[in-house]
Amino acid sequence: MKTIENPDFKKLVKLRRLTGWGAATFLTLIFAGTTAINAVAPSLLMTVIYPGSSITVGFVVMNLVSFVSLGLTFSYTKFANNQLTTLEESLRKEYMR
Amino acid sequence: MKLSPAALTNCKNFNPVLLFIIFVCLHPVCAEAAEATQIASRTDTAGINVAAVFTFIAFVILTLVITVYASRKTRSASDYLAAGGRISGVQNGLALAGDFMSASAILGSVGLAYLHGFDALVVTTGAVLGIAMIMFLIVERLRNLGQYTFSDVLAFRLKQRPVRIVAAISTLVISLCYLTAQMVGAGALVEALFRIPYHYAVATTGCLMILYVAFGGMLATTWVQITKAILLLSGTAFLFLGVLSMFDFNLNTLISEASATLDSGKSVLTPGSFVNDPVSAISLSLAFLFGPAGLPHVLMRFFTVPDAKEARRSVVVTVACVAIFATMISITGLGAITLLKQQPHYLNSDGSLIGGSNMAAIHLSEFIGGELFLGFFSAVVFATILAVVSGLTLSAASAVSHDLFTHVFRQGKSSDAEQLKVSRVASLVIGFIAILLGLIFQGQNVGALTALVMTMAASANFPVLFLAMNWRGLTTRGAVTGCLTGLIFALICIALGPLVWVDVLGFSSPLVPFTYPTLLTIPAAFIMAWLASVTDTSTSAQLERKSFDQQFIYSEIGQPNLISKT
Repeated sequence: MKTIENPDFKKLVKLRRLTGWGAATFLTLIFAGTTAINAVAPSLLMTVIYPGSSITVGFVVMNLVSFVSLGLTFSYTKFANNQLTTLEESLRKEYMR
Repeated sequence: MKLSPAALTNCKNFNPVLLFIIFVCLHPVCAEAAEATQIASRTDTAGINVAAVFTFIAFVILTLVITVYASRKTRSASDYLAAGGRISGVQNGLALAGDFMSASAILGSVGLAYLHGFDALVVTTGAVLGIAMIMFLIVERLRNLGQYTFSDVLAFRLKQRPVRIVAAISTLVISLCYLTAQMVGAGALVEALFRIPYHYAVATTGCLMILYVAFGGMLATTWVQITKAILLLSGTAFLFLGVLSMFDFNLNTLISEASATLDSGKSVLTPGSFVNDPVSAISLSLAFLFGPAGLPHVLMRFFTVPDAKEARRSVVVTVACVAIFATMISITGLGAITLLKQQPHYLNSDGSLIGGSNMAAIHLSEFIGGELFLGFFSAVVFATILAVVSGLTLSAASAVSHDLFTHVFRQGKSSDAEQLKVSRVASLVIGFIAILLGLIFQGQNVGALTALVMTMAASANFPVLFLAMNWRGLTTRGAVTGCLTGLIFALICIALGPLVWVDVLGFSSPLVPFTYPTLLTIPAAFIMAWLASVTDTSTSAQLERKSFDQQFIYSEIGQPNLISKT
């Protein structure tokens, strides 16, 4: 299996695992962590962001998590569509030869 | 009115069956609309919102035009099941967003925020993250290995017959459960909004759904979903801005006034009223994070784009739309607490909302934009149900035609025309089954079905799909065992859980304490798939393990034969 030994293929697999799986692990941890805090120590999420405000840390964090996941998917797509696609195409050409 | 020669030719080419179904399904709505107009002309207190009826009819006409256009473009099984792989990333992203922004998302989430305040944010955030997880764990390999259904990935190196049968069973069970919940919801909603009898409402929804799917296939389903996604986002944005304007666009004021409205004296951002123990919290998180990655009608959408690059783009568009939608509906729900609790005509004598908390968004639309916006919003909610059930019917039809007919009964030897014909017949049959289920389950509590769908998708499909793509050791025996374990165990846990054991059967406490028992079912599916695989010492299992390298290469770089075709 020549392709599997190809350094570019190994690089592709390594980059994809590092970025994709890294992002998935990060999102799982922050979401499961926040929901667990929500259940165990709700007072932590009820802290207001500044004195006299009604907006709490929990409200900010939850909305932030949504937009962090958008940022991550956007960054990953930009990275993958530029860097990984170039690698994929060159490997595909080599595979078909 | 005179028709042009081209129009006359088009009329001659028009399918008589299509015309008949258009007549049958539009008849009750048109009759009601006509009746509504007559009533409205006789009295000012007509029970029907004419704006809703006309917005809905406009949507139906637009989507039927799309269906006619799509039916002319649909010539092969690839066109029918995957829109020929010609949908762009942005279009697919909008259609996918439409799949996630269901009627239960808009009505349920606003209602949840109205009832539980902060905890609604946990649910809406979970939905956004679930889509992002599809990107990071599934989408590229799925697109690179599959053609029409997720079982293509399983069947790449495993035995075709057993894995396709199990994947088809799982797809059909999930789709039919989801369809039943949607049809019952659609019937009840349309009955309330348009004053159409329940059975007419279910039949209208079902017939329109059959029309879109049977004639227009994936192309029509995608464009119906895009149209609805744009309408729903616009309607929600109007509602959100309307609510914010009531508080001078000050979020701080909105939250403090909503908290002041509560009798308990607590802040609306107090967590823990919906999810209040860590185990349930993690179980719920797992359902939201991994459920979407196992939903057949969602996975199927990634085969409509030409390559993995466009598939990635579509996820970004979906996450953007759903994140904005989630933020808007959770804040709208918090605003509803103040706005609706001050309006006695929306409340029962005990202070609860008329029609239940799920009607919060509907009442709010009337409060913000009057009868006209109520009509528009109600019609959009119905359009939402229509678009989602169409996607579900198509995924069930693809399981029958592609997995069962082509690969199990004909062992891959059916012609393209045969597959297309079977797909259309399957969508007709599934559509009629959905109507029947909608009628049978009238008035039943179908909340358990929605929980069941997410649990089954996360437990039956996701583990085997993930293992098939990433673990060399998975064998046919492991995949079949894992999928069936997830499916059956999810069914048992939901039956013994709070939604069925307590709410439906009336026992005092559930035997399984979780509404979403994914904390038990996902690990069980993984463990059983692993156990059945490692104990499989057959020759075929060894061959399957050896084939992993070939599959792994294709999953990373794409299949050259499929890439060159598109």
